[in-house]
Amino acid sequence: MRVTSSRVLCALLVLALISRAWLVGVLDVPALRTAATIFVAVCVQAMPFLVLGTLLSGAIAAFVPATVLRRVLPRNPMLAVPVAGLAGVTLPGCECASVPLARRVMQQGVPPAVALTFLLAAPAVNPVVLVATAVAFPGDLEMVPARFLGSLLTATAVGWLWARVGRTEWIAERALRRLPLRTGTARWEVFVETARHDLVEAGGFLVVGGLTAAALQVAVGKGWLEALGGHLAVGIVAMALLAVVLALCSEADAFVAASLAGLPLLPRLVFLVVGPAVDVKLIALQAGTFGKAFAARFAPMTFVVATLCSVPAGLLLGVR
Amino acid sequence: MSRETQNVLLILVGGALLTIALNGTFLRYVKPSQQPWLIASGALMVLLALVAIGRDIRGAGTAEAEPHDHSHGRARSSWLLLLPVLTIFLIAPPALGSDVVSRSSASPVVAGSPRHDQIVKTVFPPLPAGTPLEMRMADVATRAAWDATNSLDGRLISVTGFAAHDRGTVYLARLVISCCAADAVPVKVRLADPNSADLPDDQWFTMTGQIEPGSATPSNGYVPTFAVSSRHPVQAPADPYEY
Repeated sequence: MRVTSSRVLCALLVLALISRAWLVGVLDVPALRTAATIFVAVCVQAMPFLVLGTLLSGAIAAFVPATVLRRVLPRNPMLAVPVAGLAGVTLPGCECASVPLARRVMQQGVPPAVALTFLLAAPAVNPVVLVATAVAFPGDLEMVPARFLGSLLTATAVGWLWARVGRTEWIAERALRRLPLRTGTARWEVFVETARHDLVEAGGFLVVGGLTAAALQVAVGKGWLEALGGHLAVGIVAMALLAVVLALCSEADAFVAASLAGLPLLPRLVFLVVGPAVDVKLIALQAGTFGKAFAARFAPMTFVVATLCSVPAGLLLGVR
Repeated sequence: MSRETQNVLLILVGGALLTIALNGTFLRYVKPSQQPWLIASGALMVLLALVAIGRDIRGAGTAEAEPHDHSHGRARSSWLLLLPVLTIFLIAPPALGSDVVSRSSASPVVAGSPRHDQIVKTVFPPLPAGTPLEMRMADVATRAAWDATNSLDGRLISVTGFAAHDRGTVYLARLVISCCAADAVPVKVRLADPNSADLPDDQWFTMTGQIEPGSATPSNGYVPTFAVSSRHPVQAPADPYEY
């Protein structure tokens, strides 16, 4: 009898059903229950955005000829990078939606540096996120332009940096390959196949991110923030790391930052700029979509650039 | 992983999203306004899988339909989609509760409402009439800490929340979420009377009483003390969080 994936799936389902009582018993520990709830919450919360991203990605693959994107963007990548950053304003979604989208436009011939700028800008500078930030900080409205500027600077700086030092071979070859569809396939079929394929693939990595975020949230907690008190530099680094660890949705992170009232505003701004650009959920998604070699370089680079960009952006706009 | 298995997985994930969105358990994980999005994305996942299955039956699939495509490495990750499905259907994790309250206690977290960020007291609109006045926990915590008009003084109020112990103190607590349970922030009132000392964690109560004037101070993280005059155990509400 051949081992096919359908049979493995059936076996796994039966096994899970049989061991259900045991599983529920094992998980009946407060910390594990909390982690399980957070895990499901992150997955359930992000799934609609991932679906949106894969549908847009499928639509681009099926209905937008590669030449159109190239014609719309400035030919010079150094100019195209800030344009892509500002284009991020138009995608009101979370970071999960922008990963499949960035990959698709790369596949359509947009230079990686430009696509990556869009990937970083879209979840951070769109109107929904900015309004949420304004609602969360009603007494400190300078946080809104500071966040916008910090994130736009980050996306543009990373884009320029990638145009300079980035190499195409760091991006897994499979990310840039088109789906092997038969010639003559109808457009709606290209759309369905691309969306389905992206969804199955990215969904698995979203689960990795959800698991990591849940485990870290329970293991790390927020208690150690108290010890930081007034140390501004330590607070900035700590909040940047916290943003990576918590992996919050960019539409929600402002409220969490607002609740950490014991900290000065500047470290909290760093939290808001770093979070949408790099966190454990995004690293998992990027490693899955563009390959481990890419994620191992892109994530640390983004982390450093985002931390460095948010501080002057904040100081310039009076965030203390 | 073959196309057939991918399609079954998509139907399972989409089905799980539809199930929790329609039977209301999604409120343990995300806020109410997410419901239409969950239904739409769940339905779309099922639809995408069904279209693909339909095409395969008609024999019009892609070259990928071969069971041995050259992408073993990444196809493996798709198996993980089973995890949330199994967690939702078999374990059905409960809403967050007292564990989160004790977990985040050491941080200088003030209650979830945004206005807390202002360090100066502000003038709040007057409270509506009513005795006892039913209030959201977040509103109680906010007014106790920041209201320059001290509108809570002398008012009999009723709040609903769950009991939570933390370092020898008992609280009536509620969690505020802004997107999903991962960003839950606790809001709470301290229960100082000796009768409350051994309330079981995570049991829900509706309590009536008064906030002790001036009890929310920087040194206690702006958590007010609640003098309880009556309390009733209640069922956990269907939407356990405040928004």
